[in-house]
Amino acid sequence: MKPAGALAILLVLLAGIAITAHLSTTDLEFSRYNAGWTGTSGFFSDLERRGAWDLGSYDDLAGRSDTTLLLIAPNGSFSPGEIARVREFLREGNNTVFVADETGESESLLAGLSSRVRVRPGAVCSAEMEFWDYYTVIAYPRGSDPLIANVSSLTFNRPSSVTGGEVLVATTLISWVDVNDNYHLDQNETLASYGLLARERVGNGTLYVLSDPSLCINGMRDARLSGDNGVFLAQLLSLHPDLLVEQTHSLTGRADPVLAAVLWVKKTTIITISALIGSVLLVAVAFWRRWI
Amino acid sequence: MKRLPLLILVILSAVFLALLTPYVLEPELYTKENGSYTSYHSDPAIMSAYSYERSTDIQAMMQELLDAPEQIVLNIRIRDFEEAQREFEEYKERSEYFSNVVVNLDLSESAVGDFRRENRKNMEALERMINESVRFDEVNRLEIKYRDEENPALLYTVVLEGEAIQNTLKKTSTQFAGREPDLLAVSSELGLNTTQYQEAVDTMEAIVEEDRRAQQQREERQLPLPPASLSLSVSPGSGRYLDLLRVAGTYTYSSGEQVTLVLDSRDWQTVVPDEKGVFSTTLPIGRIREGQHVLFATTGTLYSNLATFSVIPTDTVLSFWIYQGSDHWDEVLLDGELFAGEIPVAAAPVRILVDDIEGAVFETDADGYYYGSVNLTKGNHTVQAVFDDPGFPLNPSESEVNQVDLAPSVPLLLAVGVGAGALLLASIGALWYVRKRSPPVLPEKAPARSGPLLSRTEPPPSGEVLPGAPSPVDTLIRYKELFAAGDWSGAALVLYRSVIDRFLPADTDTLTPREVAARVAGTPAGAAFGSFVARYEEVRYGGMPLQPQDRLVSHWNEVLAAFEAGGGA
Repeated sequence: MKPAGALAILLVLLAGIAITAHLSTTDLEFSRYNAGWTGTSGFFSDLERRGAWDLGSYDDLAGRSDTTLLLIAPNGSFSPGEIARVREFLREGNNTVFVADETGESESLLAGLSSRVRVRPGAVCSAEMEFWDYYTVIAYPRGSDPLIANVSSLTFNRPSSVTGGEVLVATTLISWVDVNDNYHLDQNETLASYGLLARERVGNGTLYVLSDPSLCINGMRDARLSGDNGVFLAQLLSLHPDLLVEQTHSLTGRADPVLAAVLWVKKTTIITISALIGSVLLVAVAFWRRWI
Repeated sequence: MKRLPLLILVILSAVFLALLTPYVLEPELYTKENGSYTSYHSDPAIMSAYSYERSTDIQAMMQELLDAPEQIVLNIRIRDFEEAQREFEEYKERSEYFSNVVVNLDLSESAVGDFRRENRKNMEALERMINESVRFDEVNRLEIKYRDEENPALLYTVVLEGEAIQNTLKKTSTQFAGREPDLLAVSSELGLNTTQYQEAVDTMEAIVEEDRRAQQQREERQLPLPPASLSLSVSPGSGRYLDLLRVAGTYTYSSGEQVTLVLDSRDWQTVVPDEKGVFSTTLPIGRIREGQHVLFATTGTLYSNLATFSVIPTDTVLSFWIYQGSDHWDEVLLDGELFAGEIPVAAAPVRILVDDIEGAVFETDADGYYYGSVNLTKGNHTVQAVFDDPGFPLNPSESEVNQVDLAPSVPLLLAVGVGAGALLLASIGALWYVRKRSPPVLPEKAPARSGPLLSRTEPPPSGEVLPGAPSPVDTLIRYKELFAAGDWSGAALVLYRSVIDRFLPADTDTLTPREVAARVAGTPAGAAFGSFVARYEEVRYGGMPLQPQDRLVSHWNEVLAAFEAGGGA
């Protein structure tokens, strides 16, 4: 091989690595492919270590037991069929559905499950704060539940609030909902304790609704917090032996178009094999034609 | 440089600087901070840890403040005023600290803020309660003294003063109890235990009831007043702020003796009866508390009857305006007026509450006008004016609460000023640069794009050395220094500059060596200068080393000789 050809291949390889590195990440909020502070790549690494499976189709929920289904940062509406599958999943087996939502996107799902729990959009502020920011609310557990065992407090990051069900984690009394989104406490904003995590029994299963998916972002995982967020997340992943992660209605599954295409290729075996064969053929032709 | 590109450059520079002006004071276009907030969350990595009071501490503070009055009123009840005062000072200190916490956390517009306001009123009530109770105790002692002295006139004044104090205590207690429902509601909202506070309210009512009974007994024990040759009357029997009451009396067997008028146990005025024994004066109702007052006349041995009159309180209106100081951004200027109906209230103290804590006191002038300033720290504050001096027969009044935000540390005008200044300086600099770089803009002297350049410029007289140019000897010394230091490029430049500075016009500075050579080409020095420039470029731009006997120096000597012989310009 000519030295110039070797150099060209090296440069192409280096460029390929750079492009791959660039394309394999994104800055989309909550995305599992986002390694920045707004992403959930760290949380999904934990899930992979824990042996979690992506929920490709809601039909896969049928017949499952002792399983936790995670729905982090839901986005978009759920079809009646999907809701029915989740309802059945909860009623039939000893399963758990954990919804972490602050925008109220889970409304259709929760209503479809006949749950009383609702997420109320609107940032909760509190004088009980982790940082010099009212939105970094520290909330405390109430009652007992495997999910909040060994948890003395949790630190949230611009949470909404939950109503209905049995409140498991709530703010202190000197907290308010920032209705007009001006960060300050105004006269029409009432001081009260707000629920941030609620539980409800549905059939044989348990539904948890957390009003802040930001607990899963890298920024919160990497921060030194007074709350037991790490313990809480670890207990969440250990509720049942099996763990499923919803990816069709979750912001965590989002990717930029190019990355999405790459992921689609990676997920589709025949395309992956074809791409590999094509690459090898291309290199062989290049040698044969003495391009390099 | 051509004029069109220059013009475009200047316009672009001006536009660029104009666009840049808003960022002159805050030039950070991107920081970790401004990229660390989204609608979902904030980046914990850039936030400062919070180490101030947490909710639980705030609740504990409020509970302490709610419980504090009980101990104070218990001490008042057992007449341990020193202990009551000590407890009150602690309570006041805690209240001020709590008030600061509320302001720092920006919780004024909430139940916590309501609690702070109610607490402030309680604090004032308790202070009044302590002071009036001390006075009432003093009245009790005076009663014993005057009774021992069998002085019915002074005893009578003591009775009336006791009654006035008792009225004040009752009023204070009623106000304290009247706030109870509001405070209970707020406390309930904040999860506070109100048991001790309710006990304090009950104790305060009990104190007032005990004092009322003591006062009643005092009135029942009042000795009858003996008939006297000294008499006194006040008319009308009541009045309001700034009314004039007429005080008149007779001293039947007067012999020019002075008569002292005693108002509420204190000497008020001295009068001298006329030859008929009649005396009179006027009593303006000014700084005197509301309620019943007693007046009598005495010569030292004789006492008149007791004349009483009542002062009816008048409602007041307090206006308040606030402005930001122009010189100091943390100084707030304020003024306002205090009126009782149509009458301005003079010499009245107006308290300025900053975040519910007394920040300053200003006195009204004859027109009821007051003014002054307070210094505030950066941030949000509430500022309110209050008139509540019980020494005046005037009902208290408060202004509206003014919100002051001293957050913007850099005013827009300053930012624009600095930006405009930067723009101006940049423009001056650009203009200077353009003038320095541009050839003289004289059409008849402007160099043509082609053809001999030198002939179109203003040449120095033939062979004349331009002033200020270094001598050849100095140039060579400098050349050798640089050569010895290994700076061949610098050494070559010294020779080149010496030729330019000595023989060629100033506009040559804007030309490259080759352009200069082209100008000089048609002259007798042209050939020598061309050779010199060729070698100069090799050394200067080509990086070639100079030799000890380099041809650059020999070409330079030839050029000098040619120019000095008048072969150049």
